[in-house]
Amino acid sequence: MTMDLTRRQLLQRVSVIGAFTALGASPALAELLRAPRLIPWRNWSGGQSCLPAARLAPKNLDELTQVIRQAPGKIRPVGSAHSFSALVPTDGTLLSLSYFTGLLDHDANTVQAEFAAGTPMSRMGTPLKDIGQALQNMADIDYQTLAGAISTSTHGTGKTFQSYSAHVCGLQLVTASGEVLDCDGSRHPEVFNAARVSLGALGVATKIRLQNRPAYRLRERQWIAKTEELLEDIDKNTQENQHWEMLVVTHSDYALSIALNETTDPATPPIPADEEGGNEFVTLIEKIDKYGSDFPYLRRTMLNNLRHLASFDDRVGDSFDIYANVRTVRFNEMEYSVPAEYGPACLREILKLIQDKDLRTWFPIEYRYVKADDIPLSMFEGRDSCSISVHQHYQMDHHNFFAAVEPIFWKYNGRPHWGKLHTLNAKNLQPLYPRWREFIEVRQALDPSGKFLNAHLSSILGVS
Amino acid sequence: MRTNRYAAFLIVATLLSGCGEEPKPPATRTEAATATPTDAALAQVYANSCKLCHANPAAGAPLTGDKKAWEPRVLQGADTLLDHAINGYNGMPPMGMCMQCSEEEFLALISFMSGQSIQQ
Repeated sequence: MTMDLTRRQLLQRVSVIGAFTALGASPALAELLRAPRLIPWRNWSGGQSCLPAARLAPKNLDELTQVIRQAPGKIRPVGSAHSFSALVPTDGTLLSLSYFTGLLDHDANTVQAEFAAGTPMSRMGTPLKDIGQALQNMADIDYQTLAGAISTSTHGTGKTFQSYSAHVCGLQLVTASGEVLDCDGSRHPEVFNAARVSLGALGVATKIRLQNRPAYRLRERQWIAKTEELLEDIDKNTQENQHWEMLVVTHSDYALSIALNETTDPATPPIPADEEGGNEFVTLIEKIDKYGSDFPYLRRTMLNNLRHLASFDDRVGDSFDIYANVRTVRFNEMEYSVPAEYGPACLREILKLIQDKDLRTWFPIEYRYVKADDIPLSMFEGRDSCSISVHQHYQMDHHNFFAAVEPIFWKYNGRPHWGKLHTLNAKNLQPLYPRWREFIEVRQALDPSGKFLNAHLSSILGVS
Repeated sequence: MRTNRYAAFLIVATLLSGCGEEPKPPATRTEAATATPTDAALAQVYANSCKLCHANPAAGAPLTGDKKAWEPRVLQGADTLLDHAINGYNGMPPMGMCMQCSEEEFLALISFMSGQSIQQ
């Protein structure tokens, strides 16, 4: 095959080849060729990604303020990347606080402790126990960093227990101008109040002081029951247990009910590592779904009969060991918090939809309760809430499933978890948050140029 | 660390799938919990990222120092190990919880955990 070139084309190609030949000997090109490739960032599930121009982890406060002052474009702080929503992606500077870790200070009289903001929640339990303290409640995942958990109003379960954010009694914030603000109820109180749930949009938190309680042990009791029976006994379950939740097995009639209560009983022996984790469980459910989804009745029968093979031993241990779980199977998640009294009706409607439409999903639905707080952007601001989470395996498309379920949450006046998937923007969110303006005004004052905003934050906060 | 609440269902899973029957080397758990890189900077990165899973038998990740578990992974080569570290693979989350790590740091961390020098 021959290739016909005009004289102009020939000259162009020769000149390009010549340029590359000349550059080949250039120190600049050699340096470029040696430069490390840009590494993409992805969140825990892999559902969010970006190609940041820089990924930085300052080692101290001076370095951090320099980075914030000098970064040429946008900055997004990142913790453990466990948010499913697009809070982090940026083509600017990704800022990790991985060198800001550990217990910094504590006060035995007030039972307060201050941690560096990048401390993984999984590394807080033991140091707190060593000083006789413990977090008042914990989520069932402790992969998050403290700053990440606080920023998104992350929570556990218990009708009389608030989110992590509600227990923050002081924090240090580096603002877009590089100013270092020490905030609490008396110093910069309006900033403090907003920064307790900030989505990382007010600046970078470096230190967080928490109101804790004396260390304690928990007893975990689990049982399988019909989901409908658990809902009918919801008052009993939530009043008789300090922390109660259920994991509803979709396409079945049953749920795993979990109750945690404080105890002075001695710790039970650790269960074998092989029985921890959850891979085997989700693999089994996945297989039943895979081979049974074309036979919905058979699938339901198989899932319902799993209960005959399960038995449960109570487990007693340090609070931080009992609350948190390992998640070895990744997933995407959508969670809304509805007014507590709407919880059962909302869950029933979701389960009916999944059954009626035979929606493709097999991950359990998590059903929890959280006490009201007074933080402007908290999902629990001003109302006791029921948090309902739907999940999808990270390799399965979640869009259709989540899109089908999300309107049910809207119907019940739900507020989406900031760190989980949803499709709302500022126009939809503002009416859900009576104190919306308080946050918006603080953000505008601290970061008028939007240094800490990305596209997602601009959308949900209504900043053009 | 912690027991998964799904553990209740694991009994079922174990009965039906035969999973969980492989013995874990008993010494590895302690070794993984105490092992730390000699380089102080790398040790700090390791403690706040890889160690959270690779020193926890429940996480299902190959434990630090468990050469037998690492061997088939190491045989896949540096590029594959690096790809899994950066982009995630099964239970392994992307970036392995180290948001700022360079390729060199990822390889240094893998070398430490696997007990074998991994180079591109």
